[in-house]
Amino acid sequence: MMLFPTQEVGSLMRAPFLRKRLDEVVISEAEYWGRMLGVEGYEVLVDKLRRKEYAPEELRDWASLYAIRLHEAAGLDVVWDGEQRRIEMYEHALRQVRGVEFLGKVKVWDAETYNKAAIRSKPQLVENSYISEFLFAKRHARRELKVPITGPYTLADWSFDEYYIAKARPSESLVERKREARREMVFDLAKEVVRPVVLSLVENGAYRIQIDEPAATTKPGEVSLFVEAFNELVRGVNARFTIHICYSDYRLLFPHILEAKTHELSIECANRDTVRPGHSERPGYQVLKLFKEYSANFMIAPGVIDVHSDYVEPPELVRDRLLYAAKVLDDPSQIIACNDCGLRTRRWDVAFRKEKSLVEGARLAREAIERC
Amino acid sequence: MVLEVEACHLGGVMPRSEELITAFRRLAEGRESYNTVVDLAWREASALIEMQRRMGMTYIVEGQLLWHDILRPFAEHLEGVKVGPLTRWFDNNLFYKRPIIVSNLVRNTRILEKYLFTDLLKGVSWKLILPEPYTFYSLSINQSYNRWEDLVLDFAGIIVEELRSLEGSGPALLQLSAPSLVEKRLNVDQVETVKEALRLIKNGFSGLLMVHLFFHDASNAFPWILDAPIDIMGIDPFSTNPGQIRGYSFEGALAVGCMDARNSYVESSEEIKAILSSIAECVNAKSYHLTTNTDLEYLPRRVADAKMERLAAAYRLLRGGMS
Repeated sequence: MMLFPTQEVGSLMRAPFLRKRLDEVVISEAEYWGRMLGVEGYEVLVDKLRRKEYAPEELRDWASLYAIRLHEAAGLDVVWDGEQRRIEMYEHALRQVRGVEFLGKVKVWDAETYNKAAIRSKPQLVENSYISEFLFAKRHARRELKVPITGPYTLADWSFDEYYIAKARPSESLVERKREARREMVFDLAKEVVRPVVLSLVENGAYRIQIDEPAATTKPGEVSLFVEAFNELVRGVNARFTIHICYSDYRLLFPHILEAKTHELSIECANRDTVRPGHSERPGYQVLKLFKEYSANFMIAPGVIDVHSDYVEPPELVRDRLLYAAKVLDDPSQIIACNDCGLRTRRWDVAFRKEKSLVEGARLAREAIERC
Repeated sequence: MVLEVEACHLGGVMPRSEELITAFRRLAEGRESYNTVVDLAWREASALIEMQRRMGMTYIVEGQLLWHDILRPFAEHLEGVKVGPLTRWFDNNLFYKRPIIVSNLVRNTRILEKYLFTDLLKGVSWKLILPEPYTFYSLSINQSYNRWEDLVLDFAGIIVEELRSLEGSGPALLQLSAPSLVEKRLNVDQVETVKEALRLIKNGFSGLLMVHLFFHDASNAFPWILDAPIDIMGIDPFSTNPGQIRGYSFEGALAVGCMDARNSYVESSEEIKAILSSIAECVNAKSYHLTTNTDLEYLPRRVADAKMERLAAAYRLLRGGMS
């Protein structure tokens, strides 16, 4: 197997023609990226944009195609469509579920908010937009695909619970009652919402599936619950799974994460690292020592590209980060070259250059290992 | 046994309306002026105060709608402090900017008056929510103080100075939000410093002093909190196992957070009464207050309003004693 295979993590900023008012500047951008990425038939899109003859769904198809081509043109081994059809990872997932009601905006920090939902009855998947999304990508992708889906623990942690808490057995302790309610809620979301999506994707030919669980360590006492729910979700499914967890205290994952039936774990490290070259010591990657110490038996995708900065990491920095990770884990074949998270907040020109750097840095790391 | 429910008040900062959220967002993007945002927040605070007055809340919160997080005014305006990295606020999907202490704390400006609409609070029996000094310390990055105890005590001194600066329009009740006091059990030295800081504040403030213990089991601060120099102790029953605090007595008032401010489920008056009873059966206090277990900013504004309304309704039922 090739060392340091390259992957993206999921999201990409919306294509220019999806996020902006359609004027000549935007149309020129569509033309530029279409030509630059080799998007087949982009002239048709540009012509339609100019004549204002398009349906919203058609634009989303084009956006999906552009994003796939962007990842492919950068040279990534595993690609996705940058979640061009999704609102965002939480709301998109729960909009397709009965038993859920969105209540309004809550603060995440400062002026940043999200539209938070309450679970009001047993959740049930009633729509499944993931299938058409995947089938479109499958028809057009020239590289292997990985489909990202929000995991059950995160869906539970980011939602209110009005159903399970009301039906939990009365107990002297509200703490106990909450714990019981929480467990049932997470497992129902795993079994009734996320697992049906996974099964339908696999039925339609998906092989690589990424379960996004950024909330996994939010409640340290519930890390084992997150792992149990994940294992329930993937039970008996013939697919290759990645768990993605970002901006978290990864120490809290241990030892429970070792029980997770995952093939890969993707974590954010570049954001905590310096941009100094070299691979003798890298602060962002210290957490990998824990994976070595506990003999984790899955592959690890430590982020080597920071998605919260416009700074484009030189390939040499990517290489050094990968070589350091390989040294800590004492096994380069256990490492995937990856971003910290999705590139949704970066402009396409920055995202493209970052992904190219990721690919080139992985190549340099491969070369360095082969030289030894 | 007859329980005296003496007061009712909200346990923390209020959420912003969607309109105010949008205004703050536009401000961050440079598309709105600060004065416009402040005007909108003023109108919202004014309506909030009126709503609580109408509902019969004993102590009224101003909402603290201009505060991005409870530490921010101090991080932004104390000399010796810088605004640091975005950090998770305990076990919530909510983040705050961690203060970085780069030199000894110096207060050379009136901080609270920049963040509170004191003109709305004249003649109002109101409640102010601030971080408890040990909690402030433990949520900061200390790069300056050799002795952490000095940082805790200096911050207590800053609180006293700020309260004094409010002069005639100061709060009747000061809540010190103190999740760090119950996150884990403190050692003897830590407890002594916490008590000394509380004593400093108590001596420098003529109103009622409350310490609100939330997010974790209040028993982690038992029994030492029972003889701390405070008038009111706040407890989060949604994080506290009553069995762990059974048999204790407290000479002050016990504020029981009977409404879960982290969930949209609106507790009924019966449930509020049952929660209050379950805690009161364990801890014998001089009197009891009804409150929320923490800030309401975890909720969309309209849900927070519904919870506030229900809490006030329960208070009207329970006021003057329940058996």
